[in-house]
Amino acid sequence: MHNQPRRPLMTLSLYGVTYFHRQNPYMVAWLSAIYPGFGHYLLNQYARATLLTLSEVTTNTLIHINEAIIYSFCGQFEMAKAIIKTHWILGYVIIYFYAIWDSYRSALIQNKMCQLAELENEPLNCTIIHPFEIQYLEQRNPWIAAFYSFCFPGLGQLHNQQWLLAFYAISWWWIYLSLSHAHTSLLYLLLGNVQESIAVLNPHWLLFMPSVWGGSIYHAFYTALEHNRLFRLEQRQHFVERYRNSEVRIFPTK
Amino acid sequence: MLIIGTFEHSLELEQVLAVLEHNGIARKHMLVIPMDTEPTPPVRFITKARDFYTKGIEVGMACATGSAVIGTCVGFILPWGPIFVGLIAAAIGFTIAFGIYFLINKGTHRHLPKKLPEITIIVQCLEEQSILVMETMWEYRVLTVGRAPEPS
Repeated sequence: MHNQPRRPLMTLSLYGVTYFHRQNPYMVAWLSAIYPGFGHYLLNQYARATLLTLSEVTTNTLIHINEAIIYSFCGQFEMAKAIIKTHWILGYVIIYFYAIWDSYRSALIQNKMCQLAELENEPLNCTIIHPFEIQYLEQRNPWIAAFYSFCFPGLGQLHNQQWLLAFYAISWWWIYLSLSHAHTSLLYLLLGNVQESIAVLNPHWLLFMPSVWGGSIYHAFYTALEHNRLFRLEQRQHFVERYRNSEVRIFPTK
Repeated sequence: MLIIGTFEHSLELEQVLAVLEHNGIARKHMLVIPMDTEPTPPVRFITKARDFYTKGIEVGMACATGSAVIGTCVGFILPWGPIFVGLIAAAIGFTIAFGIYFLINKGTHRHLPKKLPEITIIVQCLEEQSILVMETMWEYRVLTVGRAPEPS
């Protein structure tokens, strides 16, 4: 049995590539701020990220955070105070800031672990074949990944072969579309019926959408970039190993 | 003969090496040299030399998402409604953040060609094989090919 590297850089699984990468900790914290859990998706901590997003959507809905945000930005502070459910608000705030702080701290740690793994330079795995799936490192255009998520959040993740995350995102986007009536409203807008288009909207569910939309575009773009980096790293390792004993001489040997 | 080809990282690059080996060029007669495209310390060489725009996107997307949320909220009291105001706010936020980033970092940006020779391959072969080797390379997205007589 081959010895496990102490500090592996990545692993391929049924669900895609999971890896360490260097990233800006402020961006990770910001993604957690726009939607608790999104920062942890960037950190490849998918299980806790998914639970955090579920916790966010549940508690936000129970406390009416989104309605309060809308009233506040519209200057109706009395309405904002009236709609908030006060018995949960403190707990919500604590978890919200914990998610930001924890993702920031983890990004700093992961940056260090990424460097250690790169210096250890253990051979990377580039393909796995499983009865249900095939996963491999490949080069992709990050703009195309971003474009897919721009059209429908989750498709960029699917393009990046993260099918489980992709269908989680796609399901939620369908739920947001159904509950917010965003596409119906857009159709009214395109037909010029502005009053009707505002009336049909559900503000609470609509306000989740900009964060999810932006977050999924950002995530798709950077994941594609990082996959490219891993592809190049693995290919270089492979060439160095395979052509180690080359006898090609460019200049005559005496 | 020595045939020298430059490539980008790609699956085609692995294909060309496999096909050459299959067609009778011994592995020890090939030399594969990974090239750095940026003067960075060895551990970080694997990042593409195009960080300039991607960092701009990073800042732009961050600002766009924030603006979109605020735009959507304020849109409820504006005549155009939350969807249009949200989308417009996102576009404006992105443009402003990307623009500021671009203006601040314009001087530091090094213009690089779209395709960089990231890997150089040197193949040692007989004179009569050289056409075959070069044709194989052209079939698999080589960037440039050169040929030199063998040293004697």
